[in-house]
Amino acid sequence: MSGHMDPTSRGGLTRRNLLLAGAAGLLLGSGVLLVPKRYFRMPQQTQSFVAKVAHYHLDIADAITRGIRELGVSSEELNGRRILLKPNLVETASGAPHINTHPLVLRGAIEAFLRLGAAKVMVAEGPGHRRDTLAVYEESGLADVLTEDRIKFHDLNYMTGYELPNAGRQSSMRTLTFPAIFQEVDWIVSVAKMKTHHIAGTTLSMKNLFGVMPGIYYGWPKNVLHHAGIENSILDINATLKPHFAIVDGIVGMQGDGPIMGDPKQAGVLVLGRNLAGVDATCCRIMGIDPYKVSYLERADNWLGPIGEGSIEQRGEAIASVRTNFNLIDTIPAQHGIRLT
Amino acid sequence: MSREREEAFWPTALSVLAWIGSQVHEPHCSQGVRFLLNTTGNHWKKGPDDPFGHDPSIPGWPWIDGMHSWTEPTALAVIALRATGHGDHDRVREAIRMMLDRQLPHGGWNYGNTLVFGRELHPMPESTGAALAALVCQVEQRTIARSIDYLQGEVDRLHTPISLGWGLLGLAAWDRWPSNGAALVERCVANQARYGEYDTSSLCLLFLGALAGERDMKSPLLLDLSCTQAPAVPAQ
Repeated sequence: MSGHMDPTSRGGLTRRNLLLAGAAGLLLGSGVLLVPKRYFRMPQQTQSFVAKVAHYHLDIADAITRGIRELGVSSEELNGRRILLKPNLVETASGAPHINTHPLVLRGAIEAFLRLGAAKVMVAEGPGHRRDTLAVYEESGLADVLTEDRIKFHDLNYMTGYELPNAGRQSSMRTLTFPAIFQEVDWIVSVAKMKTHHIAGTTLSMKNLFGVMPGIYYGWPKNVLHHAGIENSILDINATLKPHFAIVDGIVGMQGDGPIMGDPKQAGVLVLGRNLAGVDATCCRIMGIDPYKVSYLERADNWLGPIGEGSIEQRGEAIASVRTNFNLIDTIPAQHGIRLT
Repeated sequence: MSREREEAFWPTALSVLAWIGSQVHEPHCSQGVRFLLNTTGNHWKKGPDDPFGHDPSIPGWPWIDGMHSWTEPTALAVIALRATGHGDHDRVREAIRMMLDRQLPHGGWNYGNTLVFGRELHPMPESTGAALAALVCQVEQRTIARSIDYLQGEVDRLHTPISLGWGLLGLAAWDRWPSNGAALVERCVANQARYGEYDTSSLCLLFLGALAGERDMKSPLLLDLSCTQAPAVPAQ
């Protein structure tokens, strides 16, 4: 049959070239040519800001305000806007405040956004491990701060949701269901904790967004996301939700067997930025971790944001001046061999 | 919940409990019981590289269809099945074994992980209360004594309705409703000034915990969970 084909009728292509092109197309389409996607991506650029903050009783609002300004966020972007701050509240344990974002970092962020013109700031979380969100809110110390500041706290675990098509397409989840309150805000800010993680390597501003997925649909501890793959889910949530800003509490972070059982680690920093992948890559370098060896960050590179050192303009403190290696546990596969050399 | 999210079936056990005793809802109740008896989570044989401590092969119930079984949905299903007279069913027996396997070495339950990478995780009052309520008169007290101790040590620190409600129900099930239980409930109700109004289900849970002490009821959710009673609600 193919012997009847006239090569010249195909715009000068020979039959052999056509067959090769077709075969290559099939291979590409089927994913047989396993060239990492990042080689087809356009390089991106972003900025992150690092502030030295030695302890929680310093002026955190001032540090965050300075960072937001340094990152070029204009007053038009914040004037009259409704800002949702999403902390990292997972569970509480006596003597382990380093599990969760410190409440004074939330207070600082609230003050900073209001100072810069935001009309309303609220705090919302759906803890991964506990069904009793109010208990985590109370025991973490956040209730004291928000009650005093008259800021509303929203429980995302029991909030009905709206579906969006999964824009990340890394997992088999066709859609993602986000809490309805997200349709009523202008900015979503991940206010994360700087921690190592025993499954993902690190948990920073991107992984923190697991907590936005309502427990009533995703279970406790967000079973559907674990089933779909933690790394896939991190990428899918971030690609679909498109959060606007990140603040990472590294004043006292967690090292070793994070995100719950690790030890406190004073890094004395806050890290801020518009791009969550870029912020997390900067956090990794501060923690002495190679972001290219943290799988979900490597997969996010130049897609959800750049993670290369040369692609992230550092504002505030230089990374080298604040780097402090977080302990890694070599027997935990996700932490094996990820040290930044 | 919504009809569009049928995989999130975890309220089924609560619905069964709500329908008990209502003739109008008897068909729904039976349907709910059948569903529970015919539904389980995702289970597998533990592999040598699995980092967690529990036995993932023992069937219980998940929050969401197709997921692994966890403490609270299993406890709720056990309570619902026992309350409808299916306490002797194999599924209930398996689930009790599953819950005992998930009990933390130093007492209490959490959402359902015991150890990960060799480290024992933290217990949680709401999970512990639900498990203790489900296990009443199904296991010997010595097997869960350390969990009662944990919850008794925590109860004074519970300020919120889900933790306190389940905490009181769990302790009441084992005749340990605290002498200051009423004061704890009053404090929790007053905390609405701090947290905002509680939703109806949280408030109901809290008051069930309160009633468990007032009436000196041994059984969880104020139902008579006799170990040997015949099915009050047929499964088929």
